[in-house]
Amino acid sequence: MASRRISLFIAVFLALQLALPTSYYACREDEYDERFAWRMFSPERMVECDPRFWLHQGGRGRQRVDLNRAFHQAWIRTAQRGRVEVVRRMALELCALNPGSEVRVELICDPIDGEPYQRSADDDVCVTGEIW
Amino acid sequence: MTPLERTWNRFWFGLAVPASKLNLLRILFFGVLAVDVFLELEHAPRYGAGGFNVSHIPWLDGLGTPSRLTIVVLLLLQSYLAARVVFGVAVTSSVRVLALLYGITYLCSQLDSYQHHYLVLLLLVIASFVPWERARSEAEGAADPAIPSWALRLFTIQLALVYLWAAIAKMHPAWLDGSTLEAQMSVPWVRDAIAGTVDFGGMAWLIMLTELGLAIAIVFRAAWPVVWVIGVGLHLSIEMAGFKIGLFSYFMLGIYMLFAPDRWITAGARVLRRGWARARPIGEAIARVPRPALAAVCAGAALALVASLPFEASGVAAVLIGLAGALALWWPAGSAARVALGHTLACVFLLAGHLASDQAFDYYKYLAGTSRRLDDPDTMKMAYQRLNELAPDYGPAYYHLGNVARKDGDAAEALALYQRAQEREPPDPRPFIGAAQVHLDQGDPAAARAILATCIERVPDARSCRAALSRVPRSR
Repeated sequence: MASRRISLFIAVFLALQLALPTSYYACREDEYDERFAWRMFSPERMVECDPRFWLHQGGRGRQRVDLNRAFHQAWIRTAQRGRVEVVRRMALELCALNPGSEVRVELICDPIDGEPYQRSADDDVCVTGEIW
Repeated sequence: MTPLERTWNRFWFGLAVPASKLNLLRILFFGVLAVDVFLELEHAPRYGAGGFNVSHIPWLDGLGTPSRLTIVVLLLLQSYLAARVVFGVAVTSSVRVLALLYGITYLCSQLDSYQHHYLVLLLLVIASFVPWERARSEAEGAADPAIPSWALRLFTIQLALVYLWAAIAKMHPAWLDGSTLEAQMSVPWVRDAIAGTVDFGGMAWLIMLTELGLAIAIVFRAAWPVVWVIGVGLHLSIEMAGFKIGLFSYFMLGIYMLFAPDRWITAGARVLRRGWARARPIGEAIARVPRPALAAVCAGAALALVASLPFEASGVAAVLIGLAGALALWWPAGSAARVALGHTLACVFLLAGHLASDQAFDYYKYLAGTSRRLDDPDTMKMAYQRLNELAPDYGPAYYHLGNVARKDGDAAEALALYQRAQEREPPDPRPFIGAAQVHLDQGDPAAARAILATCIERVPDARSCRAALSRVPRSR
């Protein structure tokens, strides 16, 4: 009986260790989110992004957020590696810190194996909850 | 039983290794872990900074933002537990609690996304089921029996899976053409060696094929000597290549002892056992010490931590460490003397770690910088004051405290602090400019000019002082 329980534990453990990395290749939307996929030293790790957050405050036009005044350097570095979920959560944090303002996001990335590109959220992240 | 079941059982339940090898693996793996976790303390100020956090698992966000104080306590506890596993105290329960605390620390925030920390978490979960305790007790006898362990097999298969996925990730044009490797390689002589031999493209292929080969070979016990040679070579090369991966190479080199030939480990253990035999009278003398005296030693070790560790909340951690020691001491199983000795040595390890490293200094330096940027003046002031206590010669702390005093309108205090900053080497123009600003605030441009002139005289790169001087009015 004990060996059956152990065998079940092993099977579940192995299934997870196969499923989590497989999910990166099969269905993960963010190629730069390589957590749990064992992609050490990968080309994606080398991407350099410039995350830009803009506050739109009524008639006062738009203002670029100084990230150093709002977030720890380690989060800014994570955003610079293009991790979309962290960028989205940073935008939502800015919504909470600036009630009444609209928050928009741009992410300009330079991958090691392609041309630089830009992604931007045209809608107010505070309303949609998503960046793209 | 079907043939498939027989094969499954033979594979998972048929692996046995000498007790001495398990003991060596325990000492190396948990020894490196104790150091690795301790060295994470300087990163604790990241946690909770600005009240922002994203955890690895979305539902953990509901538990709130982990604070730096929580992380300090967790890290100190983990370092202590790992050290006491090395010293053979309550090994099984310590490993399980350690796995839990490590998991909480890792999963609570994406601030730690190091893949090697994720690997350590998985290995700790598996290690919770390895018969360390039995191997440790066998070390006291003359024999070195083979100890079966399904968990040890899973430990090795986890490594094989890591290599497999790492190889798959490298089956990518940007890796195989060598450009990714070349971009990551920073040590000049390693770059030259690669460029002069197989080139970066060839090396990229070699690394991918090595990882693939290790993934396959680890599964077959007969191939372990080959795995040992190639794996040690691979991880030594990675360490020499200067990648910023913390202690990962050391973890792997320690783990690779598992694949070394059994007879070498057994022979080494025999030599060690002969050495230990000479120390037996000391062990027997300690064993005769009454339990209350041992408890007093354990409490003393924990109190020494309270008095000596300068991290925020390290007092809380030390009290918990003391309780953990007491719990192990009064646990029915095991020798009280061994527990007391192991607990005390684990506390000594933490103290030695503090004295031999800059963790406390870096902790407060990063905390001060973070709170300055995020406009948290109270924390910033506290952090710089602690820096002054830890390193009285660290000039920037006096300078930033001078800024705080100036903002608070305490001109005399500000000038005194700027003065102390000016006395430090190498000279920094900022405290001169700060002092000049205080004089200007007091309507004394002559004094401001004098201090900026001193700056130009003393500071090699005094461009900022010259610029400040040009802005000071010549007369009132």
